[in-house]
Parts: sequence; structure tokens; C-alpha cells
Amino acid sequence: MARSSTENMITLMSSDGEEFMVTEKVARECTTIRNMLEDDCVITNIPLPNVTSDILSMVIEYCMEHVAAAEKAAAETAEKGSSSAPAAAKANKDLEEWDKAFMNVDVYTLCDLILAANYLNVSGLLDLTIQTAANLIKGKSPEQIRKTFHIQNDLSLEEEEKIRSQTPWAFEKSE
Amino acid sequence: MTGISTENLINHDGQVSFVMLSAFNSQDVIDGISCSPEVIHVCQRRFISDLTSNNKDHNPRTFEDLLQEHLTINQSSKYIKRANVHLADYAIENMINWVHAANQWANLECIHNALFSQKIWTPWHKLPDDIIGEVIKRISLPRDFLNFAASCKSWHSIAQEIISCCPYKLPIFHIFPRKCPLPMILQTFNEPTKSPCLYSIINQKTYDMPHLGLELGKMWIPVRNGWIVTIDFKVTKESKINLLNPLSNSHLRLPSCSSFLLDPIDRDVSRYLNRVIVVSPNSRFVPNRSLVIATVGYVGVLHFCRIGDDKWKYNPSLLSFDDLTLYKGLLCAVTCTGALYGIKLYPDMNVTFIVNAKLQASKHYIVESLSGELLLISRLTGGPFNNKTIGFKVYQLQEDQGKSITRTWREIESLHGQILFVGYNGALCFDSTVYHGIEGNCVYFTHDFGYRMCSQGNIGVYYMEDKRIEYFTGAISNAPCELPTTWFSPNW
Repeated sequence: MARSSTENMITLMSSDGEEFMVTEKVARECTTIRNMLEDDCVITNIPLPNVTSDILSMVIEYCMEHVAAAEKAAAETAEKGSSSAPAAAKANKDLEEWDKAFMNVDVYTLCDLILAANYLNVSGLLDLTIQTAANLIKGKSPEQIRKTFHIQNDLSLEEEEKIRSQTPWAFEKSE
Repeated sequence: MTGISTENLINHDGQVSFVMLSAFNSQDVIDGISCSPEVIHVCQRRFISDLTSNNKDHNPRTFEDLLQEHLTINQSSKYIKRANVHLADYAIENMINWVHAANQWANLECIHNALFSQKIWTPWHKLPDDIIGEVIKRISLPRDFLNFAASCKSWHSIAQEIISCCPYKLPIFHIFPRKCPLPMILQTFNEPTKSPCLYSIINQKTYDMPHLGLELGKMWIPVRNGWIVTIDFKVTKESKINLLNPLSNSHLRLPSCSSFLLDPIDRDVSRYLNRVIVVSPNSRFVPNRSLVIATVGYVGVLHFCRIGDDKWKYNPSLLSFDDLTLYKGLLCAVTCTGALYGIKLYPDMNVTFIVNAKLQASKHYIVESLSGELLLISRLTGGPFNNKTIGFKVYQLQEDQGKSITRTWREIESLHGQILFVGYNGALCFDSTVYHGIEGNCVYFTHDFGYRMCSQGNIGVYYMEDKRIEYFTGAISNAPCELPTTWFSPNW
């Protein structure tokens, strides 16, 4: 689908003052922005004081990719009258692969992406980032989890012992 | 100063004491880094790349100068106020970067930019509870859940809160993964005051099942996704049948027993309803658009209804079915001899004959394996009254491509990591590797109808590997034989 030149552009401004021009369609992927646009349709400049420029650029990248994928699928359906199942499955798989590659970030970026996705209410990205965080926990001991997320162990020895004794098998050394 | 370690650098709140830091000279910092792999571990990939990419422009200074300036910057209230809790992570990264910077004679300006161009990271323990809660909800294994809960105080309390929302007060290994916890044996009682109970095959203990608003003194037949069919123990023509979801408090009425097609022989059979399955038009379970299929009476006549119908429909020629399952969009039904039929549910209930078989068994079950094969499980009985389970045979649907496709049941010797559960509510297939403390390659069974089957000798486990059978003992083996026990997954 060719992008019409009359498509509304929205400027998003990060907390550190960087400006990002995006199409309204991309901006609308963020429910928070969509609500703003619906409340006030002439708004073109949206400050986002909770999101830094590096994180905002990633959120926009995610939204653009997903908008493009949806547009492509819609165009194919319109062309053939109905979407062919194998093509749709492949497109889905491609997008999944893209998401997977997109999630190849350090835990700090991941944490900030979760916060941004939550604040901007991008449900797909929130889902993806939270699932990625859950996957990071898989098969790790409490100590490894602390290391992964750089958190301090504030449980006293007695408290930790209590949790361990309740469920001894849960703390076997992982291979 | 010598012998510094990260523990010395980080105070109780995880923040680096900058006053302490400033007392060190650069060599100590480097020593501290080199003696502590944890610090190196924290090093940020992105950070380093920022530094290196900005390094072209050089203005060499000594490392001491660099350090001194940085400490001045760090101690300035402006940054401390702004970054506050982020400082701990910064400081560790800073040390790494100072070393890198020293090595590369980096420009202080670049480091300054990289560090303080408002790239402020939030540490994980500062994430809001509801987000951590969402992370926890996506953890599927009980072991991971517990390890996560044991990593720090705040995560422990969030985890406990989530567990307290589970309506089933059961050991953790029975409520995880939330969407497919390991099935337990559900025993109901023909007494209006006695709560049903759940028996754990892992620790052989019995737990009271909260009735969750369900009527006591009825038979509960778990269907899927937490839905339960309830029916009177002593069924009469007027007995009502309900489809309930105790967790969502949904309550749907199915047509009563009065429209069942019953054989004269069924007058003696107190139970009419055998297998019940609920089929939704798409993979998500939408009860009010679903089709309910049941085998009814001693001869197992197939009955259908839609939610909201006032009568069951049936085809008198579709009978003597032992079990039903949905396989690749087709309703599969197996007869008492192991013959398999496929019934197209949409749009026209077209019946096709798939496999002809004459297999001897007390009961046949069918279920889709984890790898997507259709399995037939034959339950073999023996003993003086032929009412004791003595073993199982498992077959897989085999397609042979010749001039025409022929399909047969091929016996298989191993289920590999899979566990099967068979009983009054049909067969279920699970992956043993997901659960702790349970072996794969076995068939767990509880009693079923269709013949006189008492509880003793009909509740236990059959190991495929050495063809060994173990009967459960204790309270569960004394379950009254006229009340069926079923497999129930406490998903929530």
C-alpha cells in the first residue's frame, strides 16, 4: 500500500528532547497516544517525558514493523480476495522471527522497554518484553536470577532457609 | 588501599558509596575490578560501544585526571539527585568504562556524554509490582516460580500474593503451569455435605477441593479448561445436566436426560452419561457457541446438542462408542473393538470409517499425542471377576500409502516422555519433562464404567518400560466403586 503524502505526521518528543516524526498510523499503535489523538484530533506534537530517545526509537521501530506487516497482510487479502493460509502463516512466522531478534537486548534496555510499553500501552510490545523477561528466569537458581537482573539479595539467611525448607526440590542445583 | 571488592563498594541499598570510592586511587579501582568477575559481568555492551564509537576525537589525559573529574561529577548533587537509585549500576559500569577509557585514552567529553546524556536505566527491582506480577504469571514451571520468589523480598511477596489468588489450596507442583497443571484424581461423594477431594499422584496425599459454588452430592465430570459437567448420581429421566465453570462462575444448562435415546438395558444402569466433550468452532473455548457431544447409556449412543438447545439429538446408528476425542478438526470416536470413526462436525455430521479393528480390551481410549499422532489406549482387565486392571496396550494410527491409503493401529512400546491419564472422563496426554517428580512413559489410570469395576485394583500407574503395574493404596483405593473418579487439572 503506497503511503499517501497527505498522511498525518505526528512528532513525538522524548524526555531528552529528541524529536521523532512518525505517521499517525504508527503513533496509534500506542494506545496512550491513540487516546490523546482521539481526545484532541489536531494535536501534532506529543511530549513523552517518561521515555528516553534510545528507548523511544526502539518502540517506534517495533510499531513500524508491526504496522507494515499488518498493511502487507491487508494488501494481500485485498488482492486475492482472501488471504491464503500458508502465506499468512509465513508472514506470521517472519514477524515472530523479527520480534525474537528485536528482543536481543540487555536486561537494562529490556526493563526500560517494559516501562515504555506499559506507559505508552503498546500491548504487543508489552506482551513480548514481559514474556522475554519470564524466559530469562527459566532454569535459573535464585542466585543466577539475581545476577541476571542485577538485584540485591535482601532476604536474611533464615528467610531464605524457610523458603528452601518449604520446597526442598525447588533449589536443587540446575545442570 | 588494597583488597577492595564489590561488597565493599555497594552498601545495603545497592548504592555505591562514592565517598568511599573517592578515597581510592585508580589502581585500587582496577584491582577491585580485576578481583571481582561480577563487576565485569555487569559491564554494558551498549555502553562500551558508545564509548568506542565516540573515541575518534581524542584529547589524551591520564587516567587519574579522568577519574578525578568523574568523581567530582558523580558527587555533584545535581547528578545524585537525578540518578539517585541508578547510581549503583552506573558506578559499576563507570569503573569498567574508566578502565576502558584509560586504555584507549578516551576523551572525557565522550564519556561524560555517554554517561549522563539522560540515559538513565531503571533497575529491575524498581519495576512496579503489577509488571513483575505479569512476568511471574508467564513463568510456567513451578521450579522457576519458586526460584524467582526466593531471589528477593519484594519479588517473594508478589509471588505469594499471586499464589494466594489461586482458588485451589494445593502444593505448588499441582498449580503450575497455570494453564496445564498436572491432573489430580477428583473424587466426589454422594452426600450433600461432603466436599469432593483431589488426590495427588506425586505425594499420594488427599486435598479437599473447594466446591467453588458447585452443588455437592452431584457427580462432577471435568471436561476441559476447568469446565465441569454436573449430573445427579442416581440419574432419572428428569435429571438435569449442567456445564459449569466454577472459576468464572459461569453456569450453562444442557438439555435434560429426558431426550436421551436409551436401550431397555439402561434401566438398570444408574449412569447414563459416559464421555462428554465440548467442541468450540475455534481453538478458544467459547462455551455458548459450542457443541456438546456425549456417549450415552450402556450401548454408548452418540448424542449432540448445542448450548441453549432443549433436546439432545442423536443418530441411532452411531453407537457402541467407548471414547471420543477431537483430532485435526475431526471428531474421532472409537468403538469397543477399537474401530475408529471420523465425524465431520461442520457443516453436516458426515461420518467416515477410518480404521477397522477387532481389539480385545475392557475399554478403549483415544487421545492426540504431543507430537500430533492419534493414540489408542487399550485397557486390559483380568482377575477372577475380570474386573481388575492388569495392563495397557498403546497403538498409534498408522497411514500406509499404497494404491489407496490404508490406516491401521500399530502397537508402540514406548511413550517416551509422555504421560497418559485415562479414566471416566477419557484420556489426557501430558509432557512429563514439564513437571517435577514424575516419570514419563507411563499410563496413570483411575476407574471407569462399562463393566463392573471396583476401585481396588483400578487406580494406579502402568509403566510401559517394564510393563509393571502399581496400584495406589490408602484412602483413594477405598473409593466407593459406584462413584467414578476422574482426572482434573486445577488450572486457574
